[in-house]
Amino acid sequence: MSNNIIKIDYNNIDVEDIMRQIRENISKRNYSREDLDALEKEICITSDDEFDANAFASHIATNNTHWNIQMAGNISNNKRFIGPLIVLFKRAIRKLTYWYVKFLFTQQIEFNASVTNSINQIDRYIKYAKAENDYQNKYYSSKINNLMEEYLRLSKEISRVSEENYKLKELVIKLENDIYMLRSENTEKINHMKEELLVLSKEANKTSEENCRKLEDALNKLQQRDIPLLKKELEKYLRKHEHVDMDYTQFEHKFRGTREEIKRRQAGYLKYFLNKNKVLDIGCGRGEFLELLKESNIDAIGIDLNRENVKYCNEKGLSVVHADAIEYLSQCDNSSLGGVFMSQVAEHLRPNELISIIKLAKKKLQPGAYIIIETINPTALIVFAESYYMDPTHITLVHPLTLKFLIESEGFSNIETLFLSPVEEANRLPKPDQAGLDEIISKLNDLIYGYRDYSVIAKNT
Amino acid sequence: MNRKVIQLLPSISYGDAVSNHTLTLANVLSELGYENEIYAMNIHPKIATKVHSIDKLKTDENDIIIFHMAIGSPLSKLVKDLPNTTKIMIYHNITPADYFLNIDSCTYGLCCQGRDELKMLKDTFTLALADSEFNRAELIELGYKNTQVLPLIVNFDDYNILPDKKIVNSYDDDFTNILFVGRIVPNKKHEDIIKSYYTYKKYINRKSRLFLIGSSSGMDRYVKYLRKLIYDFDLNDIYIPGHITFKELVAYYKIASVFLCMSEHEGFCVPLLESMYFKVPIIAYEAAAIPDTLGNSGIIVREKKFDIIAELINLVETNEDFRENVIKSQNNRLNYFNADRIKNTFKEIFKNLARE
Repeated sequence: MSNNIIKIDYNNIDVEDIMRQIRENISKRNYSREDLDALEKEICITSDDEFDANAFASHIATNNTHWNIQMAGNISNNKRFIGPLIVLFKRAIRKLTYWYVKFLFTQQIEFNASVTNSINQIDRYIKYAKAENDYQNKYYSSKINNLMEEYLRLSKEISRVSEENYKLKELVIKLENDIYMLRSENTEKINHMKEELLVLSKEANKTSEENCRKLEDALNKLQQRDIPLLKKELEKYLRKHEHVDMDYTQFEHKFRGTREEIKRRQAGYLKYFLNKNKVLDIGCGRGEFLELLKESNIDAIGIDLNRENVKYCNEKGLSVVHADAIEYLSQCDNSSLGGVFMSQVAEHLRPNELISIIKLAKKKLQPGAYIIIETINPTALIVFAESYYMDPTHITLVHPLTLKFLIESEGFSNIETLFLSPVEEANRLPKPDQAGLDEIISKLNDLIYGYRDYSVIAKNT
Repeated sequence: MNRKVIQLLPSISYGDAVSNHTLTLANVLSELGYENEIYAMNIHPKIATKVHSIDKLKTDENDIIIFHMAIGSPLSKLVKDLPNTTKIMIYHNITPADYFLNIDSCTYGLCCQGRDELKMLKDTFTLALADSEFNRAELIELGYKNTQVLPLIVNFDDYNILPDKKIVNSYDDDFTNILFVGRIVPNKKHEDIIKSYYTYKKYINRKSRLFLIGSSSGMDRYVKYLRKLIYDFDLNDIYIPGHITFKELVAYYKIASVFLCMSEHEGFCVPLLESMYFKVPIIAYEAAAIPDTLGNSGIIVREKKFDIIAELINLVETNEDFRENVIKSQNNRLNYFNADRIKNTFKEIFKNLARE
């Protein structure tokens, strides 16, 4: 198979069969062997028959000198004796055939002249055509050269422009990226600023509304010439800012009882704050309850208006800040406090201040968290003889039922009232043997020598 | 961080096999995640945006160099002297200079120079990749040590476009259209195609045409010689349209009845793959890389007997079974040149090299 002139390498084809078909077909057709042999010869690319101008010119020169054939040439013979005889004979022959040969010669010369003339004309025409061709060649060559130069210039220009175009495209991409980046950065900043602006404008609105309302109120009151009310407001303001010039810390140390005693008394409240966080002790004083909370690992913070107390507590490592209860509570997040404890503070407050504190506490306490308010119990007359008047910063006393009512009306539940710090048995009236008298004395005792303090404990719903 | 890859070649244009291969490899390298650049001495304006001028070449020794070798140029010396540690040659073969004797002295000189440079470069490269076994054998004979075959990557998806209407309308008829595609250069032996056509037309089928598609730039003397031959044979159905558009190329394959290749020197011969893709039966002379590319497909002719070649054209045209079998063999062969497969081979070779 491999000896075949054709090679087909796939199974379903029989090369022999193909070759047989080819041979059959060849034999049917009239292939010319000569033709095919000629085809198989390699044709040399350089074998063009070039025109030889020099040979052509020399042929023309020969034509021009030889076209006019000399009919009567000189007849001579140099042989001795016989020579003149031969010459005579030749001349006789020439003379005898002259009439016939002359005609042929004349025709030949005419033909020669015509051919030579034609060739001369062709030569002239070629020379002219060549000159014309040369001229045109020169003309078109210069044109082509110019065009080539123009083409090269344009190619270079196109390269340059493409390159610039490429650079520009890259630049555009870069700029687009930059713009995109700037836009996203700015959008972020703008959004942030919008948010801030919104907060600020809300605050500004709130403040300005509040101020407007206050101003309007004041203006209304002035317009209504409600002088007594203004006077009252002024008094209230003055009262709020009135200051008792005494060393209250020292005073507390002397009359409130030792820290240990207070801690012992307050230990009973701890169970209401177990497992809570962010318990607020309003008017924490010397921080006894904060210390109890800390010992039980309950996270708490105290506030007090007395800077000495704040300093004292901070030195003891307790977290206490100088703040007003209403202001502080207002700033706390809603439902954030794990408890509010306010011991021996209510008696220093105006009724509205106490109400505000209860209202705020309701709002800021987590559901299930307790509020404990401990204050002096005005149902025991002895407190008037002792604690109430002893402290010149006391403003008012709150009846246990009143406090319970206030707390209840804010929506607290599980309200219980504990009466604490009873007057020691020794200080009460001695009991007579009669039961009737006994009872009277007991009641008298309750009235005069009853409990010094009370507290109200409540759970937020 | 992947190493940068730099492809170098003397001239880059569009439409020729070496340029196409370079641009395809650039895409493959990008797919692999390699930053890569192409540098050339002569750059066609149409692709100037994708290629840098060799004057601007900046490289450090860690970059991988891929050098495309097909002709002599000052780049060979430049590549030899580069400090880069990894250099790869892709050898597309150099046409023997003698074909250009008396035709184009410039090409003759460059081919001679190319052969000398090929010898000079034998120890320069980490790896030499050859388009075909034929090319690889040349490298081994010259003393190249690490050689491998990597066929050209041809993206056939690119050919899936509408053909030029004018050509299809003009020639898609009952004539037999014989086609050859390839630059008009003497090693491709266009004269033998003309002789085959002359025989076929004279003795078998007057209703036939011959299309010789390809650029002839710089080959004026050879074209003049072919024209004289056509004149002497008194043939008037031969078409030599010069450089054409891609749409026109596709149209010529669509109207072709048979692809006839008489070339005596090819490094790979992409038009054979194109013919396979367009289901045009191939008749080709057994020379250089042509048997490698055809494999077990098409029809190979061992001798230039023009009566036999003419009869083969006739048989392919008239014997439906034979034609179907030839096309079937070509379809099978085309699978071997699947672009993804060759890309993967390249990726494997490249990954191993880049790691070194």
